[in-house]
Formats: sequence, structure tokens, C-alpha cells
Amino acid sequence: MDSLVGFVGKNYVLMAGDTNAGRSIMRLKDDFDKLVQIDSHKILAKSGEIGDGNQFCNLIIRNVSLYRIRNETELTTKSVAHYTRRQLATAIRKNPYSVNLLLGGYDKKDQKGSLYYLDYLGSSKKINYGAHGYAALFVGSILDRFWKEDLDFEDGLELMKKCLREVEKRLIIGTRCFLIKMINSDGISVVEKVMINSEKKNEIEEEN
Amino acid sequence: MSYDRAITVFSPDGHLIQVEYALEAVKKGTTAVGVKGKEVLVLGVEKKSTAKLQDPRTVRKIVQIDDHICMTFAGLTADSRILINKARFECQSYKYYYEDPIGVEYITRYIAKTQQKYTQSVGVRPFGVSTLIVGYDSKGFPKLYQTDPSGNFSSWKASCIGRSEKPVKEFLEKNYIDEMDEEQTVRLTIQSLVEVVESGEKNIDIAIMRKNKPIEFLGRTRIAEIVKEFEEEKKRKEEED
Repeated sequence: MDSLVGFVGKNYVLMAGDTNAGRSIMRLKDDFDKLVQIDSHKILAKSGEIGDGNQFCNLIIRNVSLYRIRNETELTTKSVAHYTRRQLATAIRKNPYSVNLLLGGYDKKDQKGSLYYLDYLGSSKKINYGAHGYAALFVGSILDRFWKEDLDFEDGLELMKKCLREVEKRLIIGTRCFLIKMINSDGISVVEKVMINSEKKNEIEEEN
Repeated sequence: MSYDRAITVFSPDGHLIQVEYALEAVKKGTTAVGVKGKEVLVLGVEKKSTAKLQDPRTVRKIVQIDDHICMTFAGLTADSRILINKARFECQSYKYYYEDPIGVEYITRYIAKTQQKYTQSVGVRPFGVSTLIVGYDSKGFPKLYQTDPSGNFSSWKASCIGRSEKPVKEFLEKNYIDEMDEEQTVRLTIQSLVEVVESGEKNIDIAIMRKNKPIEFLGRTRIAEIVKEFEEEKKRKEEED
């Protein structure tokens, strides 16, 4: 099951997703990027049904692009969140999209990052930190304890790794590999592709 | 001429009179020029002189259709809005289905198809608009296309539509050389417009489309510089004669 984690820092948004794509017991792909670029300063992190995720994110990307071409300006993160939520809400009682999303974005006007939590039922909430999937069970408490407003980048990355280490440790399904991306005033950048392997720790213990 | 009331009818001598009237409307519109260089595309438009109290920035004739395609038009501005909107939607729709950015010829064919549809439908009139579409094809070559109210389209090295079509086209035919660099292409575009535009360079807009780069509008000062250089050259030539 997909793990998505995200939080807002000082003038940036940090988002991470696991890079597994699977079907029942089989891992089909271990370099699957779930953090989709919507426009120059927004990421939609998708989890859930892969096909629905693809279709839905494609729809959002194309409509956000159309707005940009038509109006010669980019939408704010808030607007994209509202638009996305509306699409999910109108679909839920007709042909639902089984996708849960985290929308992270940086707005040049406010010079601030923001994060939105959206789910397949049409919920939407602006959050400082959050997660989807099994990760949410483990990571919520860590972020409750350690997240502070205006974390600078190094502290933020450390906190993210703390969260991902916990997911790898406690989730019985091997997640191992995560992709961390950051959004700031310069746009979207891949911070790290983290391979968290707690097996190595056991080796050290055995030596002792 | 009773054969011009319903546009679906041919005249006895095989003309679609409404379409020809639409071409007349285009001939009344402000001039637009497109020139293709070796690795650059330049669009130039004559801006309609705005009233004193009007904000000139709201009158935009060169528009982006997609990140890599631009177009301009001559004729009825309101009609062009419809075509531009449809084209923009089609570009995103294409990307939605095929993931690749749309081809220049593809979108030209789409716009031309739309214009033709309106010459063969009940209760509608043709678009009073000719368009110039510029962009780079999948192989990276610059392309310039022109459509007109009849739904015809073709590719050009340099073309002109609107009020001063004839004199500007003659000028282009005389002075166009293949594989010009950016500087030469821009100069040719400005030169072709300066002759025919009333009230000179203040009413000219120049846009440069480079490969894989967003469209750039040439600044007022740069246009004024280039126009000044032409005038000085002209004076020199006259003095020599």
C-alpha cells in the first residue's frame, strides 16, 4: 500500500512517497514516482488505484495547463486544491476515482508553501503536515511531536527521514525505497532517493 | 446577388460568396506578418491605434496556443477569440490523450478544419479571420502556417495577412533569403511592417519564437533602435543618389 508523507517548512514544502507499485503480493515496479508535477511549483502526490491515479492526475495537469495558457498566469495552490477537490466530489457518486492525494505547492505571491490533504471522497483540508496510506498510522505521531513552524531545510529533511525510517521499520510490507521532493521558490527538485534498509543494523548486532 | 444569403449555397459561377466576403473582412483587419528563419520564427503585428483612454495592454494580437506554439490573426478579433480558445483546448486535449506535445501542422489542420466546418453548416457564418501559426515540429524545424476563412491552410517561409497584405508580400518576396539568422529575420519583419504601418514603430509588436524557449516580445526600445537604423540607411542611400 502506498505511503505518502508531506509537510510545510520555512519557504518550502517537503514531500515523500514510496516508490513501489504492486499488485496483490507482487511488486511490479520499485522506481515508481508517485509525486507528479502539476505545474512549475506544485506536486500532486497520488496513492491508491494506479490507473485512477494516472487518469485523474492527467486530467488535473491538463486543466491547470489550459488555465495557464488561457489566462497567462498560474493558479495558486489553494485554487488547484479546490478544483481537484471539486473533481473528486462530483465523481464520487457517479464514477469515483480511488485516489488519495497530497497537494503541495509554493506560491510566489505569498512566498509561502502550502500543503493540502485530499481524499477520494472529496475531502480537502489545508494542513501543515500529513500522510496517506499505512504511513499515516506511524508518521502522524512523529510529526505531531517534532514538527514545528518554519523548520529550515536540514531539520526538515532530518524529520522526513525520521518518518520514513519509522515506516520502513514498522510496516510489515517492505517499502524500503522512498523518493523525497522539495518545492520552493526555485521550483520542484528531487532531494533524495532514499533506500532505508534496517537489515544492515541486524548485521552489526550479530557481529557484537 | 441573391446567392449570398445562406452560406451553404454556391453561386452559379462556383463561388461561395460568404467566404469571399469573409476574406474581405480579413483584408480590413490590421496587418500581421510571419517570417521563418533558419532556427527562429518571428511574428510581427500592426497594432490598432488605441483610443486615448484605452489601456493598450489589453489589445493583444499575438497569443500563445501552447508552450511551443503561437499564433496571430487578421480580421474580426471576436471571431479569433473563438478559434484561439478552441485551439488551446485542443492542444491540452491532445496532450491528455497522447502525452506528446501537439504538432504545429496538427493544430493548423484543426483550426482550418474548424473554419471549414463553419462554411458548410446551417445557420452559421464563416469566421472572418485568417491566422498565422508558428511553432517547431517534432524534428525541431521551425514552421509557419497560414489559414484563411475558407479553411485552406498551407506552410510558408514568410507570409502576411490583413490590410497591407499585397505590398508587404511583395516586399517579402523581394527581400527574403533562406536560412536567415535571428537578427536578420527580426530586421526583415520589422522592415516589412514599418513601411505600411501608420504612425510607425509605436504601433508594432514583434514576437520571437526560439526552439524550446518561451515566446519573447521584443522591447519597445529595441524596435525603435532597429527602425532608426533603417531610416538612417534610407537617408544615406538617398544622399548617395
